Amino acid sequence: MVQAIRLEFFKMRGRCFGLLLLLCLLVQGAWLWWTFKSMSHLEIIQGWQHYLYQLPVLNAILLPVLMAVMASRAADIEHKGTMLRQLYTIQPAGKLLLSKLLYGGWYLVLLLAGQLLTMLLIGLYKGFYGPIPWGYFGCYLLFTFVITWCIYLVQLLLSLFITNQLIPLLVGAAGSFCGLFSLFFQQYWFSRLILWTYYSQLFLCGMNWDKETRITEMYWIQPDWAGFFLLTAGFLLTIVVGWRLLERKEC
Amino acid sequence: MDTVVWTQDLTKRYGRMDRVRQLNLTVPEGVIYGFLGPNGAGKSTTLKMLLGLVRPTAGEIELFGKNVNSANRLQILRQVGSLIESPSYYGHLSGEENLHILQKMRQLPERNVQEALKIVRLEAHRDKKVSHYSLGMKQRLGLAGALLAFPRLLILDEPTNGLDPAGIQEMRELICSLPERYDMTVLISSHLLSEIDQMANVVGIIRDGEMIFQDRLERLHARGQKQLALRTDDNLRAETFLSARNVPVQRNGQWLLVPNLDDDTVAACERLLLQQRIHLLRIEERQKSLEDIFLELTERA
Repeated sequence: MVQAIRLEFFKMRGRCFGLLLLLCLLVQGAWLWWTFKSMSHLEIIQGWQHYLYQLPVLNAILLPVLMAVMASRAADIEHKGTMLRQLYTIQPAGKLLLSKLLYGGWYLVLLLAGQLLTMLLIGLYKGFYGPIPWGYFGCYLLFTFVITWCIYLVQLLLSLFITNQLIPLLVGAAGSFCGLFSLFFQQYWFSRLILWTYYSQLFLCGMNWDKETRITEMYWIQPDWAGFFLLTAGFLLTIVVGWRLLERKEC
Repeated sequence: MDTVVWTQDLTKRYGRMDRVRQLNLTVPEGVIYGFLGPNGAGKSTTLKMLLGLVRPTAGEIELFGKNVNSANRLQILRQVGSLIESPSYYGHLSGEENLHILQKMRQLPERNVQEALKIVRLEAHRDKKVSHYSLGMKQRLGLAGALLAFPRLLILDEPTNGLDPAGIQEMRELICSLPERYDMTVLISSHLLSEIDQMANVVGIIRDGEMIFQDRLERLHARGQKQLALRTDDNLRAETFLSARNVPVQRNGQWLLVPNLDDDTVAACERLLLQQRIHLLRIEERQKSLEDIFLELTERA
């Protein structure tokens, strides 16, 4: 398996994954800087909470599209040169899925590390009040990693099964749209069934907005471990089903 | 001679249509087996089934005497190299890098890459991106990939597709040299009879998913034996007369076809017919070309 992952890195040279991530980080960093540059005193006091409210919203908009593009690029190199036909005579189809999944996961770790660094730099520069809430940050990174990796997995499966990459990319764009509007229906049970809504379902911060004083007050929310475990179970199930379907795929 | 590939009642059904029907394929070791058939006859589907890329609806496959199943497929395929339909490659990588990927996946020695490049004469282009290769070069790279492990069995599906005449000639010479140089068995499919005629020792002909001929190439040639075509002023009486003298006669329009008789027998027949007042109007020597035989076999009468 280690060899398969190494080869995945070798194959993907020049496919600009790093550049894509950097671009995403720049957009997110710019957005956060613009939001925080003219913060009021109250907002600075609640700075860390603002972060953990705004970042999931930004992630819900950007990451589904980014994952769709990354998965599409990872799968398209196999379609373009009809490599699947060759690879399936050498290694199990599931191994290919797993190596591509781990490859995507590695870049996701880099992205989240970049996000954390951006948060800390802006937070410390602006002088956010109170100690850094490492516990919440840890939960945020874990939740975001699993949601995004799961989206990457779904996109990867679509991209491996469908030769025309426009379809998976459209699914990615639709997922992004769905994630953004999930804030409006997160209280309904069916939102649990939609993967892209988990960015908002696993929020660690809530917001009270007083109409009269026009003051926004942030508050912590206990991590939704039930939702997280449901998502993780769905992720593992998707790997098993995807693996089996790929093994049965004729090419 | 051992059998390298053996199938029994191999069938592939898509919906209600049988793409391959009860195919019994036998490829002896050390031969170049030409798998011949018109476009859409089921050649590629059969080869894909041998490689496990398509699941058979029914039937059995044995490679190197072992029954192939999902558990041992990849283990058995370590001894098989393949090039199916079109060459497989990563266009953004160089030819050598492409082979390195396959070499590492198959856990082969590094030197195999250089050797395979040398065999297909791509050493000079090893560092060039494959997307900049010509079709012929891509095809040769595909063959290098198939040869990389120096397998016991090489499965090539229409490997000369899209090549220019010089490329075809080069590819043909290369394939013909493989059994002797590397002790390989080659199973090659084509819809071009002339191609198979120049390369194969054993031929299998498939039509509408069914094997209609499978034997050594000489046997196929033997079907094209010379015949004599006669035309007389009374073919009916001539036929009865010759048949009564144990000369096998076939009627073919205005002609009577008899086996290729020696000169003395032909002269005797002519004399005897004349005695019966049957006048010989025309006599011709005919020989079926391999193409005629192929068309006869592949087109339903």
